[in-house]
Amino acid sequence: MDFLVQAIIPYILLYKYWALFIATFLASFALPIPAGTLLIASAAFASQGYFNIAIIFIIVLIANIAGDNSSYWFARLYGRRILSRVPFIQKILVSKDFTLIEKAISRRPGFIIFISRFEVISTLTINLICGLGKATYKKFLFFEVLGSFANVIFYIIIGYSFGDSWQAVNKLIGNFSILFFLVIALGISLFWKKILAKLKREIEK
Amino acid sequence: MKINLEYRKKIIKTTIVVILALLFLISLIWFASTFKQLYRTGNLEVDYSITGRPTRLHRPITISDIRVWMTFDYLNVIFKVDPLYFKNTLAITDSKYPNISIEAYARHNRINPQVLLHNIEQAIINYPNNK
Repeated sequence: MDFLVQAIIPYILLYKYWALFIATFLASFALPIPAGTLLIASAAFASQGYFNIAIIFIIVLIANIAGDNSSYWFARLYGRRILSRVPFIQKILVSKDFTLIEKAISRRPGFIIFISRFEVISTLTINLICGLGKATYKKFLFFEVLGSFANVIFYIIIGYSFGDSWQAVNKLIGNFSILFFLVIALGISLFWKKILAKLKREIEK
Repeated sequence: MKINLEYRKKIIKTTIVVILALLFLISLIWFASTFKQLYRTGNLEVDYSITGRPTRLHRPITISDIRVWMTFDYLNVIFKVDPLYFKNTLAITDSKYPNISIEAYARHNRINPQVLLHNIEQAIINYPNNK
């Protein structure tokens, strides 16, 4: 099992719902903690009688929403000021390509916000970009809540359904995530110029 | 000079694409192999359907499932053991018991975690209700 997960799980068992809330909040706000794995584990522990599944659902959903919104507002209010202090990040922030991506996400954020809830790095990245680009908050909130709800239900069903086999299933999900991101990375590498040109055309319309 | 730069950029891009493609192929083989292994060992059968009904006899948890990150409190629940059983059997004097993980207890008391794990497994095998 992942070293980070092995380090955090004892705290979930010791401090229960509080630890789960804090870990989930931090994962949504700023830290790349494997919140999905922790939720699968917690749901599995609930199937064994150690936790209450309804309380897990409520706690994790609230933590996800609170973390995502805190991340968005922090990026919106202070993001540019803080990130501009790092020279190479400042270069990225003022580049044409980044501005194009910001505008494209701000115009149609729904699908991207929804789908990014399922993986922690994409959640943090999209929260940051939406905040920096000042995407409409109502739109962000709507799709963020929808995505968080779907994400929590998804991982809870996996953990609760597979019960004692959760570690084995989690390993498979981890392998699949790597595969998925390699596909995305390959796609972006091959079609980067075409993607940017299409975004530029859409924004100019 | 400009042609050289363009040529170099093309080489770098091609290299990145080839590396990503190879990584993708390796990951695909690894994923398929993991799936096959887990399917064969019965780890991909669900305990409960989406309606909440049990679909199979819940796989009983065994001593081979115990890991060092588990707490004694958790072990008491999943193995349905008396809360003071491990404390008495293994002579645990730590005031944090049962809210302490196996690994943390081993570290505080300078015990080899694997030795402690083995002792816990034996204690569960010898638990009166298991006979």
